[in-house]
Amino acid sequence: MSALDLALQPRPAAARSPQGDAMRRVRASRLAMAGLGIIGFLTFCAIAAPWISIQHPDADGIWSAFMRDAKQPPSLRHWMGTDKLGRDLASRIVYGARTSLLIGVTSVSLAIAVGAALGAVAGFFGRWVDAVIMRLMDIMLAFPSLLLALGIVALTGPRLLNAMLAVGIVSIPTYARIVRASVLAEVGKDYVTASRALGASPMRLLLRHVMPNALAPLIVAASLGIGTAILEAAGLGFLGLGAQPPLAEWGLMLADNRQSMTSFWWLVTCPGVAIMLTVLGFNLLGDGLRDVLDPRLRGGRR
Amino acid sequence: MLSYIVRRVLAVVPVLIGISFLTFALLHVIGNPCVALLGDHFTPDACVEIRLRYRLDDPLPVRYAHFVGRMLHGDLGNSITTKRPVVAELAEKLPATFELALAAIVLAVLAGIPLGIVAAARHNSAVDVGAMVWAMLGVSMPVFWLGLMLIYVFAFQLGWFPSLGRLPSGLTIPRWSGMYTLDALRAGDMQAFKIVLQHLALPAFALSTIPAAFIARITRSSMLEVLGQDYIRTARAKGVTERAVVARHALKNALLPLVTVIGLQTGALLSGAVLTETIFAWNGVGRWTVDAITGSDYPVVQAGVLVFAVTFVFINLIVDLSYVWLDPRIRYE
Repeated sequence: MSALDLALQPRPAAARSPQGDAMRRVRASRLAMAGLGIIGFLTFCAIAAPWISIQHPDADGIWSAFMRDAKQPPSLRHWMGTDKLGRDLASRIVYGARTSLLIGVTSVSLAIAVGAALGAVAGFFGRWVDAVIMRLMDIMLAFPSLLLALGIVALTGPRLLNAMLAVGIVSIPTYARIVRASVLAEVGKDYVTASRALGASPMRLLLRHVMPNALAPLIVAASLGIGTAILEAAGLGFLGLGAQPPLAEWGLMLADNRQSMTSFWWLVTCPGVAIMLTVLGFNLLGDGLRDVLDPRLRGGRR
Repeated sequence: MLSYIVRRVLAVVPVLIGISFLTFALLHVIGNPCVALLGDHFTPDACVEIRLRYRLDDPLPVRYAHFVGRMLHGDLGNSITTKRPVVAELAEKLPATFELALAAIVLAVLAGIPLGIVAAARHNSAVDVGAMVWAMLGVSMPVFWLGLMLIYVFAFQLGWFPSLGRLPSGLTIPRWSGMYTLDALRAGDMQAFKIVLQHLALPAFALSTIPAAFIARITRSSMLEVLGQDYIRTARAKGVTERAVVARHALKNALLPLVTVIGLQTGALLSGAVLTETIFAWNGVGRWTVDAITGSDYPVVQAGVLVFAVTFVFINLIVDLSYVWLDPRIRYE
């Protein structure tokens, strides 16, 4: 639906508020809705994992009659077959959704919290504070993200928590830049000067005037960022530097099953498809939201 | 213009200092250098020796100065596992990574730009939708999984390409640049050149997929924007064929944003190289760094991270400088 079609539609009085307007446009965006659909499905899997999976993800077949459950092809009972320890792959994939969503949301929340604080401080104080913070951000951006994450994990040790921190830390500059740009854009405006003249504190200026303007680009960046974070954490897990066995994590599952790939293709196909689908969901949502929320970019697509 | 170039080149200096500081801090501030440098050989006596040799009891700024001094003299320490100088090992691995990255970026440009152009020229056609679905999947795909799938299909099932390494064991090529394609050509050994290309094919293809998808998306949106402008309508109105409109009038202006994207994608490419090299047993800097992390070989980790970051900084510098020639409309005061 093009902007013109939307403009010609009769507007219900209730949808006049900016929020209502934005929500309506989000609902009209097929990209965003497709992404939301995928994310909703994954969230359902993550929450309902104990009820919709047939086994505990760590339940293996080592003690069950000489591993006869191991490496079974997909069947009615085991939809995606079993791995070398006889664990049901479908159950592990479902539980993996928990791990991946947790990683994505935690690391991006951390990055936004720190990034927004740094960006706000840099924007408000200006001068040398701004210069120091933003140069630091530039230097962080000079590292290819996975490399910086690798460096952090190398020192803190290969653990899921450290991988989450590392993935979060490397994306701090993105959010710092967004918030700083919003601060600089708003602070000079008359309504902010008026508010300041009335005695509003910097904190109030930040929360009342700057953040609402930063919200749209932040939401878009967060959606795309969760996808990237999941991809990077899976990469770290694959390298053995993130989640550790026996945790059900998709990247780790790929690495575990790599050796059996030649004869048991499903063991490597399924976790990969799961990662791709998840990242695709967040990318679709992010792209869709950007089309809807960022008026500057709206002209680019026809 | 000259002053812009000088300023842009000088702006690299603080970033390089920052990079050196961050790699230094990774070891000396966050980690315990004694444990990191000795690894499994840690004993209190050895630690005392290390503390003396690396002057670990000096204040931090003094230690940093020593670190930078040694680095400028090309001394990045010795590898803990092989005991050899890190710089010598780096010189062996770096050409392998450059060869792979170069092949991947060429493939990505060759695939991404034409795809984006066709998608924009036939806007909203089946080709357009197909190309964009493919591009969306491409940016969401984990490169390590794609690599495994390629090995499974093209190496194990079809047997078209070898699955691992840069060369079959037993075959050697006289070393000149360290990039085997160049070395084989220089030796005039076409048979070896063919074998080298076969080994390069799968990893380069895997590594090129994500950048190719990004490049296709940007080419498309950039072309669409240009195709909507007045001078394009004028060209069409005076009867220029659609092919010439796209190829001659629109393309030139649409390609500019691509330079930035290609530069940025090279950074993603370096990250991807770490994973791709690990999967294809490609003997480059990425795999070397990962092996060093699992083996707690800290000097090597430091060197690996340093090399990738410095490379990325210089690629960005080249991108920025290339604008001076590419777009005369931009004025640099």
